[in-house]
Amino acid sequence: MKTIVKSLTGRRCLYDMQKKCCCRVVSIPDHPLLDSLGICSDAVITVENKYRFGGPVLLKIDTATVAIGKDIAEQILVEEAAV
Amino acid sequence: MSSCHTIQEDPRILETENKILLMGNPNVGKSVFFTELTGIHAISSNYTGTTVSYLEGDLVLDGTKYTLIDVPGIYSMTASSEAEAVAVRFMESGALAVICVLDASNLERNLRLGLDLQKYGIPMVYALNLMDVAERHGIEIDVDLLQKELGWPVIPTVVVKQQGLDELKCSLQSVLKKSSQEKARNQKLDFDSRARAREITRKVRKIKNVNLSRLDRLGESMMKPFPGIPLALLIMILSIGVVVGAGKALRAAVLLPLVNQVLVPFFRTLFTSFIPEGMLLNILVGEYGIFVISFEWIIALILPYVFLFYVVFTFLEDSGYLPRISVLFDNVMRKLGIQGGSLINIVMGYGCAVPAIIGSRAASSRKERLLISTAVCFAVPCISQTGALISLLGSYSFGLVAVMILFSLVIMVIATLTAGRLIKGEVAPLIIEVPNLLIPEPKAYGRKLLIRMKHFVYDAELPMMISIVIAALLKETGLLDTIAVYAEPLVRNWLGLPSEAVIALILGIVRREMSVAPLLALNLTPLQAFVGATVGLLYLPCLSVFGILTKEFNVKVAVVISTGTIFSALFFGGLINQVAQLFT
Repeated sequence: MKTIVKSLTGRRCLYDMQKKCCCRVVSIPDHPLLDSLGICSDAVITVENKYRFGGPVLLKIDTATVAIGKDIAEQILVEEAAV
Repeated sequence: MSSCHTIQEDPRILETENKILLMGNPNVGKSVFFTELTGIHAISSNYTGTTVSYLEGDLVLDGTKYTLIDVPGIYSMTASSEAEAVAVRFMESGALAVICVLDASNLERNLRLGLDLQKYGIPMVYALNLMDVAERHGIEIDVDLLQKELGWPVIPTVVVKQQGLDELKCSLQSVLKKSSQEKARNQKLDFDSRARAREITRKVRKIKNVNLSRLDRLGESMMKPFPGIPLALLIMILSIGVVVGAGKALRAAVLLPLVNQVLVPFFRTLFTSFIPEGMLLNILVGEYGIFVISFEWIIALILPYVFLFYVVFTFLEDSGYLPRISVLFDNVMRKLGIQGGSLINIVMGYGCAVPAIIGSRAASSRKERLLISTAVCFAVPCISQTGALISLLGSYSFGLVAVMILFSLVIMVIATLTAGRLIKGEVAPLIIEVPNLLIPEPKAYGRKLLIRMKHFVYDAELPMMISIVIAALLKETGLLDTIAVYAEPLVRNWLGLPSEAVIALILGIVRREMSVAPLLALNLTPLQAFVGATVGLLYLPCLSVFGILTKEFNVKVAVVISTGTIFSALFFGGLINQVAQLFT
């Protein structure tokens, strides 16, 4: 079931974040690959790029670049973080 | 996420006592280490998931032989995927040592796995690979301090340039010697790998602000929708241009003269000197003689295109470009019901469907695997067949080649959408790590190209020769004319092809390109050539593909896909002919 969280006390879903925005992960869906790739609670990530028409978001995590599909990005809750 | 594919391991390999495990995250260069340490050529690529099963080979150190096992790349030891479960089983079965390959340009995440592995109490050596990439990004690592923190040797390496390999072997030897004396170390094993990896990274790593290199800037530009998408289209057109243009030039300038002026006349003279005229001589060197069409079809028709495809594909693969197109076109692929990562398998299918279907093991679900296999079997011609199609259609006009490419894309959309509706299950969204853009190392690139060509020759030679012998026997014994009479309603009336074209339908069962190659000698009209090419394109993917579909899925899947392809080939081929007849 897809749940799109628009706004909850400054928390938003990753898919709604603007390009070049630095954010802190608040919660992630149950998907082991996310944690393995460093997308876990409290991780600081930067949105490098977004792709239109349901495309993925491109993230910078530490020194790695990871692309996350829309359906998963919509389930990751983040809050803006200071750079 | 659990993979839909079970990696079959030989139980004996787990019991092997002298084994050394080669482990690490995906895409850190393990397969290159394996090749360098064992001399066995493993195919490696600049994207995750190349090793979808484990590999084993002999590693000789100071006269002692060990079994080196290249374990599939994993991110953790949680056994949440089949590859991770295999890694856990290998670690639990015990090993003399583990070579853990770390990516120096992405240290923290790699250390998490490196620390997880320490918990098994097996002696370790760390290869800190991709030091050149780390340096390019301004990353400095205090290797001595890292070694102290990890408690095991850490060797900086750039494996594609063979740097650090001797030091790695020496360290491995001394670790093996020590471990045989002291056995396992008494270590504190209850640490939190994630926190510890972060702590160690903070201590040992410094990142300087450096200007991005030209290559990194290009890599970043390729990821942006603009200019990334126009660049992707340009690269695609250029790739096709190189394969088609250079292939035709190579064929015309070198291979055709070699076949027509040297090889065929030589064997004709040789056989006519001691075999009297008759059926046997015709079977050997007649119009469809084995020593005529084997040279014409394999050397002059197929080989130049196969070689050039692999020149281009291997370059794109090793440069790390393919995951970039997966990201750029994920939105388009989602509309087809598959995710962008599958695009790598589909592109691979333009080489050969067999590795593309095997490579789909990395897919997240059975449905995704089936969709990839459907797209490849229905609408992606293998490179040998592409060579035959270019030779057939290109002799009329390049416009026909372009129309055939567009037609194959339309068929891919129809086949994938239809299969997506019929097959139950889910397709997981894209999660892919984008590697650094690299210029392939010439030696590694050349070696990989050589392996691919060798594989092609070894794998394709026997079925090609079987097709050629069948063709020679059918033609020279007159059996073909009898079959042609029975097939006339289908071949002549429905498809509008000459009766002899039935040979393409017979040989196409054995090898895909053989559904096109015989058409070259039939003096077809442009419409007939297009209809023949359509039938060939959509026709049954060869016997090897049938075999791999049976092995990877089951007989039912292989039969359904094969029946579907034969039906669609004859239906669309005939439809094009019948519609065209209305306007002529």
